[in-house]
Amino acid sequence: MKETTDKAHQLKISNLSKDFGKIQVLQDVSFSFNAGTSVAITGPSGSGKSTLLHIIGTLEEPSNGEVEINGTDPFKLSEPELARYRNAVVGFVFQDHYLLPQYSVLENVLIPTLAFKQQSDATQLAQELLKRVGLTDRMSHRPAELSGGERQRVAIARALINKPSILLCDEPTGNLDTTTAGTIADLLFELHRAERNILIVVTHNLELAGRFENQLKLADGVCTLEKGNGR
Amino acid sequence: MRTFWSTAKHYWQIHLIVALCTAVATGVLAGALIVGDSMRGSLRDITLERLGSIQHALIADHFFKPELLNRQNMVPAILLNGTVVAAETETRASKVNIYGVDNTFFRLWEDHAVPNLNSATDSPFANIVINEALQNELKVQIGDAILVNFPQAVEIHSEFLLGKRDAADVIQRLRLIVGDIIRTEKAGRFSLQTHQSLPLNAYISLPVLQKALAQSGKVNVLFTAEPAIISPDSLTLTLEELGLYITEHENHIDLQSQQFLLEPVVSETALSVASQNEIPTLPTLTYLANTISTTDSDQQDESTSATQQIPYSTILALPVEDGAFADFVSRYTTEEQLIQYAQALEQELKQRRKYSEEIKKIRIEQNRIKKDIAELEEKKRELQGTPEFTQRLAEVKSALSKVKSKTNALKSPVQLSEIYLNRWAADDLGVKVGDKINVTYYSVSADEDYITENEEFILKGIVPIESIAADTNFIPKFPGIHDTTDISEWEPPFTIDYSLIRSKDEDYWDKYKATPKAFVSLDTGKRLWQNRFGDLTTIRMGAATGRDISTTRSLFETEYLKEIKPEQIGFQFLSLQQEGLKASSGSTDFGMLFSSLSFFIILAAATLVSTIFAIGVSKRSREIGILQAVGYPLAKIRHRFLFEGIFIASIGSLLGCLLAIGYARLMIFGLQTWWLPAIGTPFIDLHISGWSLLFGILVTLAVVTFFIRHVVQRLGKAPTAALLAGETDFDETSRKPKPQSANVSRIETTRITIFIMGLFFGTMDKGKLFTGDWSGIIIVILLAACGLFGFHLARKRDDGTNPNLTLKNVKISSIFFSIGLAVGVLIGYFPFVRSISDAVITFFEHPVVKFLILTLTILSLGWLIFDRWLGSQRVPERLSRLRFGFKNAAWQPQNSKGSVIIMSLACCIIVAVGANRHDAPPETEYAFVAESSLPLHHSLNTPDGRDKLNFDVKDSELLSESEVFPFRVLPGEDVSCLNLYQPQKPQILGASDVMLNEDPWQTLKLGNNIEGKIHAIGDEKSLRWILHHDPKEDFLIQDEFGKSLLLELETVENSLFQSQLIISESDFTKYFPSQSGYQFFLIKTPTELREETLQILEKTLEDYGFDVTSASERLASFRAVENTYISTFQSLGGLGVLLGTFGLALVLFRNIIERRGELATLRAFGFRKQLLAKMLFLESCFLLTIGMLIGVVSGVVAILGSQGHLPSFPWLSLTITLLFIFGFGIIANSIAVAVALQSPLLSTLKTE
Repeated sequence: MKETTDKAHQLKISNLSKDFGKIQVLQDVSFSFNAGTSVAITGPSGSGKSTLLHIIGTLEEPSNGEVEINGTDPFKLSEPELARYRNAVVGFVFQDHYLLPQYSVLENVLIPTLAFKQQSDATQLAQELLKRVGLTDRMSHRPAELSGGERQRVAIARALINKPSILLCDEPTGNLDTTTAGTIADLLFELHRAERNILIVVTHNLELAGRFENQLKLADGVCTLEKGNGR
Repeated sequence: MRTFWSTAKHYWQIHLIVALCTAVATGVLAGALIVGDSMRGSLRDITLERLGSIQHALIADHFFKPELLNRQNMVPAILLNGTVVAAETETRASKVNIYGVDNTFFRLWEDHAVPNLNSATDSPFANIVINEALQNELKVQIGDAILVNFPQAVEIHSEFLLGKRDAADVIQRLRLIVGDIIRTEKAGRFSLQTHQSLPLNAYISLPVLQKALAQSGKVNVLFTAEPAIISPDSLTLTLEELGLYITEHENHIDLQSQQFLLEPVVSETALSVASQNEIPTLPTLTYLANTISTTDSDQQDESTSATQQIPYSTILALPVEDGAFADFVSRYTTEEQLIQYAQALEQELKQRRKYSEEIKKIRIEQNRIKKDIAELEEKKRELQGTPEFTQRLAEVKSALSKVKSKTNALKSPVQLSEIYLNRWAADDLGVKVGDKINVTYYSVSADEDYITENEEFILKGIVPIESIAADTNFIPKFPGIHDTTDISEWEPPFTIDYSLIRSKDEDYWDKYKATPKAFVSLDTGKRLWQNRFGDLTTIRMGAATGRDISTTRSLFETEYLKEIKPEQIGFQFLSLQQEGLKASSGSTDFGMLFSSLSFFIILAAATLVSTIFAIGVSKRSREIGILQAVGYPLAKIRHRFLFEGIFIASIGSLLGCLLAIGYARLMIFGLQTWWLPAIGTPFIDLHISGWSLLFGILVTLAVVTFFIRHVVQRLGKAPTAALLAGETDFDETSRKPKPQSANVSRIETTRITIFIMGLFFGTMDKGKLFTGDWSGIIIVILLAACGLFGFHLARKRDDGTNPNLTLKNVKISSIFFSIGLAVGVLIGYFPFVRSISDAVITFFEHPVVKFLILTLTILSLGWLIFDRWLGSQRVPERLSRLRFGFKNAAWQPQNSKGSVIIMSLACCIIVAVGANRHDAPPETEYAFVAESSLPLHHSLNTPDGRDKLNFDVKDSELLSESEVFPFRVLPGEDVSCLNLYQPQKPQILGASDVMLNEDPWQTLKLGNNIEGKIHAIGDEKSLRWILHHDPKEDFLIQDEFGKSLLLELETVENSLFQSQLIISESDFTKYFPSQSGYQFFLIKTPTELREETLQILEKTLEDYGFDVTSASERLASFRAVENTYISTFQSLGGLGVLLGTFGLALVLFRNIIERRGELATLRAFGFRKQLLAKMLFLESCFLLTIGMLIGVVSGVVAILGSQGHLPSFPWLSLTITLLFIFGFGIIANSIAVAVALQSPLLSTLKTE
């Protein structure tokens, strides 16, 4: 898997479709992004934004079409390989941060490293990430002791701990006030630039979407790619 | 109410589990009580069934005429024990109740058909009716012949010199035809024994049995169905009924007994009555001398060197110093005889003086040696091994041996008694006054052998055969002797050497009959010949002052019969039904037993309720938040939840009643089948008591309410906003800080508690608790350890916000404890306080209390440590998967704690109870335990005894390889765990001397100077659990004369004697003199001869109903009961495990469902499903292990603390059980994980 991460990051979606029984959610979606690209997926509720994000994140399989990340079709991998692949290549940030309440901030950030053999410098890396997201003094606190913005920052740090090629965010600012949402968005972009990964964010927030280089607009299962204002 | 129903409907799963858990708790408790009710009810049913309408009985140890009792409607009967043999198949049944009854007996049971007791007119044999239980043993049918053996009615006690004891003389055998077989119910179940087992009964027509026993018109029991008790006053006694007769002479009357000897109680009462009525008395004792001879060498026949001797003579012991005999002697004593006697006495005195001087010298020498020994002892350490020491030791040893041989060589002069001979005897022996006379006579040894004893006398006088010296009326009539014309025709029970009888002896018999040839003082006579059957044979009485002899006789008779109490002469007045019903309360309260162990289950179920309820409340934290937000007062919210909980629990409790009945049915079914050894006979029927159900409901509701309230009280600890955000009241981080006032009241409560603890330990009679045994010290150490450890952890955990956690407070607490202790010690001096503290000590020394306290203390300690550990999981160290699991467990402490508590309770029960299980086969040095229906009067250890018991030479030789320890038996109730009734009169064994040389039997040898108090041995468990008696207290029984007899108890454990209490044979014969022979035996036999020995014993002693069982089997039967109890309790523990495992799995399942989002996130980060399952599984295994570990350690320590040692710990079976539990837990957890993870997790993450 190390091999995969060494390659230049590339995400390629070809003719992707997804249906849930008779309901067609995605139809013939195709696009390709390289490392350092930021993409916002927008569209009305039920348009398949999260489904697309989950397919990219290999959490869901497409009904048709191909997904290629760094030259590998993850859906052709076996279940253990897919888990390892996801662990190494994809990072997630959810609207509900899904931090584990029983763990400290530091422990929460370290959790993805536990799925497989832990890197010796994982703790140091986690501490650095927390420093970067501005939570150095909150490392030993539990999620319940943090504010919503702080929790989302922990979730971002957690998503980046394995240095993923793709960072997927599902409404990361959906539960936050405007100011905090802005701060989190800034943080996401900052880290995205530093890490040179592909950043894909599902959002209803058009202002936020406008900050991305690319915008994938979903409507009635059809996907349209537009260039955004993002830098 | 509408909202309540909506809530109930919405959260139906949680409510269902709460209701079910409450139902289980109610079911277990009420079910346990119903088991107890059923046991008591069934025992009561048996009692009522076996007694029919019989209310009272008059029972005697001898036969009497029914007319003696001035009561109408009495049902006469004869009750005997015996053996029955099927004539054709020779199948034998022993311990059979043989009843001589008439038709009226069967009418004592309502609607009972009268069986065919009377024989067919053409049959030479009488009929016998048997019950089905006996039929099953004998396998006979109506019309078959059976042989019945039962004890003969004998006038003279078998163990007296003149008593008969050969099988033919003591066992009566009847051949009878089975006329009817009745069911083993109603009259067919009649027995005086309070035991749940089915009796083996045989019924014979009363006249037939009376005839066989030669007791025409007599019975030994009368029953009545009338409620009025039989009073001793309604008994009209006559001298004849007492076996006494008075012979009237011209100037005196003689009181004598059919039994030859006047029983002590009879003679004492007679002398007392005579004295009160100014009737002069002359008590005498007649005995038979085997030989009277002279020991002086000059009187010996030179040609044969044989001592001149007179065979078989009567000797009369009477007061010789004054009274009639003294007057008579003085008339015939010459001056020369007086001088001769004086010279002989002087000679004797000389010898005594010489002996005294020699003894003095020896004593001086002994003292010197003692000093030397003491000196050597002192120097032993420094000098041992040196030549000087060795030499000195050799010198002392040599001096000691010299003194010993000198002492042995010194023949002690015998204290000579005085004897008078009649002229015939003196002339025959050629002796003069002052000569020494030797008398040999038989005595009966403890094991009923005739022993020839020897006594030397000095001849004090020679009297003519006239007047008092020629009065044969002193000699009671003895059939087979007094009515014979020649000595050679005598038929005594002992051996007569007819070769010794000379023609002049026959001449004497012809002329003087049994006229005594010798006379001794009454004191001497009593010293030599008195025994437990009496010390007088005739009480001669003169005319009372102012009366003639005839009126004196009637005066004496009237007064005597007034004075003697029926209880003193073997009559017993029993209220059979009342005593039977009292006994049916049971030796073992199964209700209490089951419910006390169910306590843990109830606790487990309540914990589960609390856990589930807490989960339910957590789930509804938003609801609580909203209610708070809209202005509901906290108290109202709490009430709402409490009401909801109680309502659901009440429904569960009502449901539990059905479960209770089912559970009781199952337990009873278990007791009738799997656990049958615990009750012996499958007799229990379900008896449902409304009170038990109500009690079960109320107690369970109380416990469950307590737990629910505890949960509800925690509501409101989180801020409303946090609740609205989905956080719960049980989340530590969201709790509000405690107000300062709470801290103050808490610290005050703590100090008061600590003070009371100190006071409590102080009042323990100056630390008696600490010197008694280990448990006191263990409790105190554990409490101290708990306190300090708690403080340590609290300090470690505290972030400086708790103002109470200071060393200063610990010091103050110590001072409070010390003051409490000091005050306690001081007030402990006051008797009243001490009596209270003693009562408290007694309470705490009770094994069950000790065990429960220790168990709960250690369990609590375990839980406390676990709780603290959970709380301490805050500071991140290096994260690992293992730690991940631990942290998950620690996250929902109320769930984790609940599971751990339930698991630990269950394991604790299983270990603590299982530790007492005896897996290994019992070992004993004895090969067999034997019991005989009829007593044996000859020793099985001597060839002669075996010969008399009809063993042939070959069998006798084989038996000589065995050693038999016989015991006398006082019939009574089985006090072992095999008897479910509460025994009222325990069976008593009299241990023979051979048994008494080893510990603890030596205790029985210790004499007890206090009259009415003797040493006894009892089994610890039988005393404590069956007789419900504290072994440290004396046990009260009644002797044969109705007097109180205290038994000072020494205990044994796990012995063969769990069914009886044991006293020494000498005490036995003293207090129960009329019991004859031996009926209980321990037998040591080499292993290779066991099978053959068993067969020979049972075959040869068939008529005695000799039943031999393997000693280890006997022990195993006791252990089987214990093990069965243990199994039942372990099954309760198993139920606890089931609850615990269910709880654990449920908690796990609930956690997974609640944490779906988290788990999905982990999946998103590359955690495989298997890894998640593994982690969750690890978490639940961790809880399972912790729970089990706390339970096992608590169980072991509790056993160690309450018993002082670990019993023969069944490591293997317990390890297997625990592994099984662990495995079961793992499977349950795996299922929970698998089921919970089955549904797709990742969809949880979608925002759309």
